[in-house]
Amino acid sequence: MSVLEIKHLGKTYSDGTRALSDVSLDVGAGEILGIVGGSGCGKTTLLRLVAGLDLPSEGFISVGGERISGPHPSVGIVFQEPRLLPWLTVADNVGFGLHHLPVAERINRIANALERVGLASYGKRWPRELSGGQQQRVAIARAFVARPKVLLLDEPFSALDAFTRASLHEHLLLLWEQDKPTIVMVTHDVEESVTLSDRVVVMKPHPGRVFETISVTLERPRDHLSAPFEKVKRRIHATLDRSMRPENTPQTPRKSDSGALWW
Amino acid sequence: MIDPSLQALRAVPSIAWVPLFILWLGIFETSKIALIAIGVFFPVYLGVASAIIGIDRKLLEVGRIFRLSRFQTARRILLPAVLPVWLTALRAGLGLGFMFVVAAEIMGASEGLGYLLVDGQQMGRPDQIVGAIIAFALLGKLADTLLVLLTRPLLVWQDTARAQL
Repeated sequence: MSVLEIKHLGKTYSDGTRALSDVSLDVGAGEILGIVGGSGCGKTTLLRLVAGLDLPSEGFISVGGERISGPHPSVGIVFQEPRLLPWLTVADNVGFGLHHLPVAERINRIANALERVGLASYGKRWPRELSGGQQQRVAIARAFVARPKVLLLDEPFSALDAFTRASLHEHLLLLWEQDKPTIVMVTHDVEESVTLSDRVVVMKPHPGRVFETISVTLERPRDHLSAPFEKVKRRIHATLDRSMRPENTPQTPRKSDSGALWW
Repeated sequence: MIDPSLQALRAVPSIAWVPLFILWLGIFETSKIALIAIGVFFPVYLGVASAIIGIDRKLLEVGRIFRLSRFQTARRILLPAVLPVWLTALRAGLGLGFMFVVAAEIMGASEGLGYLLVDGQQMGRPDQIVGAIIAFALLGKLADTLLVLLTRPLLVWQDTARAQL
């Protein structure tokens, strides 16, 4: 059963820019969906629409059968930047969305989430005392403690170095294993999308739309150096390559692994 | 709607209120307090208003994601975000307050530091004037230090190169 349903979604901004056109996606419970695509393909717009921060021009989004018309309690988001509130301690930041809960429950959830992102002893620190990677972990914990059914990630690791990113992938999967929310993750890192996703959607720009969907059936934890991993990666690179080509150019015959030259 | 009206009131030089206040509130303390209050209010208001306009949209979006009401957004995001600017504006206002003390007392008083200044001039006593000036310096510094000390715990979270100048 699909938890997140996106039907014929379109978005035209008030200045006439057509950011999204006829995007339809079904995402199942507990599924991790990766979205990759060139710049201007509407990835971020799509997430903002699902988060209810902007409203679609056409089509609709529903989460667990409910239409999205604004920020919804079942939908959480982690932005590209941590966006922590500098005047709250790490623990208070994590608990920012839990004010409706009894104190004991709140403390419990915060401690649990901080532990899973490896920041158990940092609860009383200020955000400014944390590194960029640690701040992003706090942001991820803040989204998880609200127990969303759908969690959106907007290139959350793009500003971090490769080592930090790899460890954050682990923390993310650790948190995900707890309640298995549906995750939709926008990224520009193909390797990241293969590491985490069950399915990767490649989007095409001008206007943004779905170009192709590729399933990733590898067992977790995934070995970055294994041949099947490489194969999926190449396939996504090749698809991306095609998605960026202007529509009316004749297809030149290419070897199937040409995507490896994409960088 | 409130802001344009306030901006018009702000354009009135504070001293211009004095005759009206004296007519309405008498020549004693009340009218002076009213003058100081109105003189200090506008600069502080302007500082806080510009801080509210400059607040980070990205933080407000965090509030929207967690579906805060308007009141909750004001209390949990707006107020803490403008607090540092607000306190700085208060410090500036405090300094300005002393200016209006002098202005009020020069315009009509029988006691107070401002009165001593005028009295010193009329009596040809520069020592009295200098004494009043030194008293202002000490009082101003003391009030400012107190304000800074009292509000410092509210600002420990700030990510600034140094806590004070």
